[in-house]
Amino acid sequence: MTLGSKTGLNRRTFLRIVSTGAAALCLASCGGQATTAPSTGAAADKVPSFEEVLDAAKQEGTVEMWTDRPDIQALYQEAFNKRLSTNIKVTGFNLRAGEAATRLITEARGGKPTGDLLQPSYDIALDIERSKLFPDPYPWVEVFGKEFPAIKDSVEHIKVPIFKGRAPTMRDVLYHGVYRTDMIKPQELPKTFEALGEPQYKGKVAFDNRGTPLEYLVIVPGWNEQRIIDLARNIKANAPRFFPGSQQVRDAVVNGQAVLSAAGDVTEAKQQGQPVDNYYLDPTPVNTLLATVPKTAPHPNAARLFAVWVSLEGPRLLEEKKIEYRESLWQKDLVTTKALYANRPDAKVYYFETPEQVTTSNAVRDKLAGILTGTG
Amino acid sequence: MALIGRRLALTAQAVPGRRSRLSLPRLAGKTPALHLAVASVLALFVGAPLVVLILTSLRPGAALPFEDVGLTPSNYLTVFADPSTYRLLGATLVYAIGSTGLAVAIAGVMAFLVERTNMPLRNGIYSAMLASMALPPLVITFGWVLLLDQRIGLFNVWLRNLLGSRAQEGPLDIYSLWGMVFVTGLAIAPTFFLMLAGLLRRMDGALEEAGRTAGASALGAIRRVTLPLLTPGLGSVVVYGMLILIQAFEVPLALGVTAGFPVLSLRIYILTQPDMTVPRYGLAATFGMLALVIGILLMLGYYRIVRVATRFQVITGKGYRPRRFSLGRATYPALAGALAYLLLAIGLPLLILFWATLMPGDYQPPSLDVLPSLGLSSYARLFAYPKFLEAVVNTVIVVVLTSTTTVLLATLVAWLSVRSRTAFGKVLDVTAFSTAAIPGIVSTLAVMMIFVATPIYGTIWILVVGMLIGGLGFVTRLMSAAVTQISHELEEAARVSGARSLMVFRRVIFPLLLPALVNSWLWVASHHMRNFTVALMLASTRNVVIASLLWELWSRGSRGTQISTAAALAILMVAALLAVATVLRGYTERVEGRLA
Repeated sequence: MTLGSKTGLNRRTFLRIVSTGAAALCLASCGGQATTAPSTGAAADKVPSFEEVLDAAKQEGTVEMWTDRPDIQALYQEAFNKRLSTNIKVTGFNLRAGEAATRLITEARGGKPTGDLLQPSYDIALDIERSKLFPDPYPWVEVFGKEFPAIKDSVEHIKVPIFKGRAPTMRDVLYHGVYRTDMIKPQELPKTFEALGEPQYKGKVAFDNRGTPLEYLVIVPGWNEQRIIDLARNIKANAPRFFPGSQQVRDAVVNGQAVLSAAGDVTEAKQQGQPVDNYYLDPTPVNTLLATVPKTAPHPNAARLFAVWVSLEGPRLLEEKKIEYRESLWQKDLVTTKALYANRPDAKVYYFETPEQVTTSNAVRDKLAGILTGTG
Repeated sequence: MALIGRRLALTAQAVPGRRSRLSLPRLAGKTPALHLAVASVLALFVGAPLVVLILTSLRPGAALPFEDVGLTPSNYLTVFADPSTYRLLGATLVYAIGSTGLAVAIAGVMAFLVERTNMPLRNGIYSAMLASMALPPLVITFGWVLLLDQRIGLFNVWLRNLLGSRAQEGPLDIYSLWGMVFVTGLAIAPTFFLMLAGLLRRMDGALEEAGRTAGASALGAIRRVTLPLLTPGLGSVVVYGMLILIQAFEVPLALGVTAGFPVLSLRIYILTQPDMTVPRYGLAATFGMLALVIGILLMLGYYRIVRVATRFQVITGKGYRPRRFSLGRATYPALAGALAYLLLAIGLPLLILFWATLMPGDYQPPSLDVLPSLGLSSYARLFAYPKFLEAVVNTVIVVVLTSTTTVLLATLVAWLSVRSRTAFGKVLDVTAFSTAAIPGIVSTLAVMMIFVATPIYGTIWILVVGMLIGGLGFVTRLMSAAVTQISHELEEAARVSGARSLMVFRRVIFPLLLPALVNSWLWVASHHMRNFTVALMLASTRNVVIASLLWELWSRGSRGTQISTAAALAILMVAALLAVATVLRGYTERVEGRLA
């Protein structure tokens, strides 16, 4: 193609168009350099007082939280502001933890961060850390300890060393199962994960196609990759019905498509009179989520204040309102925590303690998905 | 208009065989400038995502395309060394061919009945077909699960009772290959219907009548005249169908996992949407590249089919007038068949969805025991839901803007590629069409990276940009097929009669393209009403739309009352699109009436 008088386009215009396109492509492919996030006070010499943080939070006026439960933000906002006599707006929308991390990193690179509070699991937190966006250590107990004494437990509940002191616990993802009370008696339920491969459960179990929560068994002493893979093969031979995700697994039991599962929570459905209930399997692995205020948070003080409140008083609020949520096991007085130990007094609960466990668990998950349904 | 028509016919006969290039938007001889302008827009909106796709496929692990971690072919090695990739491709092929075949058969018959016969209720059926596209495939599939699940499916329960069976499961199972093909075929048929309806509507009945005069039966005329003339259109449908089915993940996600029949799209989806881990963009992009290559191969096949496009120009200056077949005694059986399809494809899932809206809490199958607890509280909850009104307003703005812009751009691309018939035009066409092969998550990520530092980030305008890419591939195919059918004799004749470019466009080309324009607009609108990927990835507190609300309620929080609220929202979406489709259909009919 030639450019000339016939085209009605001069060379300068052509070059302008081409250079605009090239710039756009370059921007797309190269992105901007990572914006160095302003330190949000994590490494500050002087520990701020609670009142100073509260005043700063009031000034900021907003917290943007990315979670998978935006439907309860209004509830949180009302209770949080009532508790602290503030008028802080709690906004946000529905993003899975992985998407939230991607968005956080992309926005930071583009120099336009918007997220204040995320709740990544350890493996996603590692990715945020690699991008240098995970918060620095912060004096959580010194700042908030007087107003919220339990913050110490929440912060210490984070077991993996590199994350200690950098975030409180958002919640625990404790993998118990759910079952149809009209299809199976409580005494007939499996007591261990290995029992899911027994003949009496053939064709009755709803299971996550990626094998979750089996990959978390790597944190249990005595379990290794091979033992988990053998278990997955046994479960697969027992013809479970696979569903894509823990929510779908839970729904399959509630709808009556399956008799029981190894994941899910049916507290709300049970309260509505549906013939379903939770039950516990041994050993019980827990994946802890971290209330993460990234280095780039536009409203760091409001975010920290809210993170502390939601970590400590959020679960209690949801419990009062009879809303399903994941447990916070360090809070022994919660109904769900008590239920676990009442149901299984000898329950053995295990947490991630090293980054290596997190990495191994990811690797096992990839293999499980391939073995179970070819979707790894 | 009739006078102009006669003049057109006479003039067209007077200059037989003369070929013109790009006569409509001649724009005072600046057509290459138009080429470049369109090319620049495509470079920005298509080239950038393509670059991102390629770069992402060359980054290791979960790295993002802009991360400075070096380039590596490791993802390609992983994909091609893994035997499961080939099983996945085989399964994808079986699924895509089966679903496309079923959908083409349904859509072909429905489009013929609606556009080329005197069947009663044609407009109502047309609107119902379009409105059904507002239903997210996940929602339709959920309806079918409730009807055909082995254990709780209503049909299975009835069948077991009818047969006196004591079995707890069966006899039918939606979680199977045939279940996936069945649901996908039904779900995608309205899209194919749109493509074929536009083609059939513009077909000159005189050609079939000539066949009949020469001794062919009605079926013979259809087989030997209508079908061959539809070749490029059918080619488009099959190519596009295969391509989107390589990517469509909703039905495979809902059924394929349980059926034990994973396909390529499901793999990409699971890699990019893990529950608790970092998305594996590198592998997903590599599979996306695989889909892109398959798409380009399909495109090349398509170009081979239509390489002599003038063969298929059926709207000429020689007295073009679409005619309808009289169905005679077959009128009511045909109507019954069409209504039976609508009942099966739309009616039953909608009924079950409506039942779900009446639930006070979690879904329960229809039974007399549940009746006393039913109510309309889900609609009240929906109207009281935070941001519902804001979402409705934003959705209207985004959908209208996106649909209009997409149709405009696609029409320009189609016109330039079909009429200029240069290599550059073909490049434009392939580039626009290739958007259909880029995984939505990757193109959205690209848009985010390009616009994150601009003022439109976080506003509804970023959604318009993000969604523009999503519909361009399909609408380009639709408009290419439409433009291919219009002979340039018409424009030349009008020009010889003294009409200027604008008048030729307004009085000749626009009315002839109108059905395809309306169909394209409605297709884009219906798909973007429920486009979760863009709405979620580019979401902010200022740009909430119905799609993100529906996803929030349905897919990630289907607890308790949320599922009935989501079902209420889906029902209202269908009702809204039904109303819009009916109005636009009426407008199209009026314009065509004036033309005739």
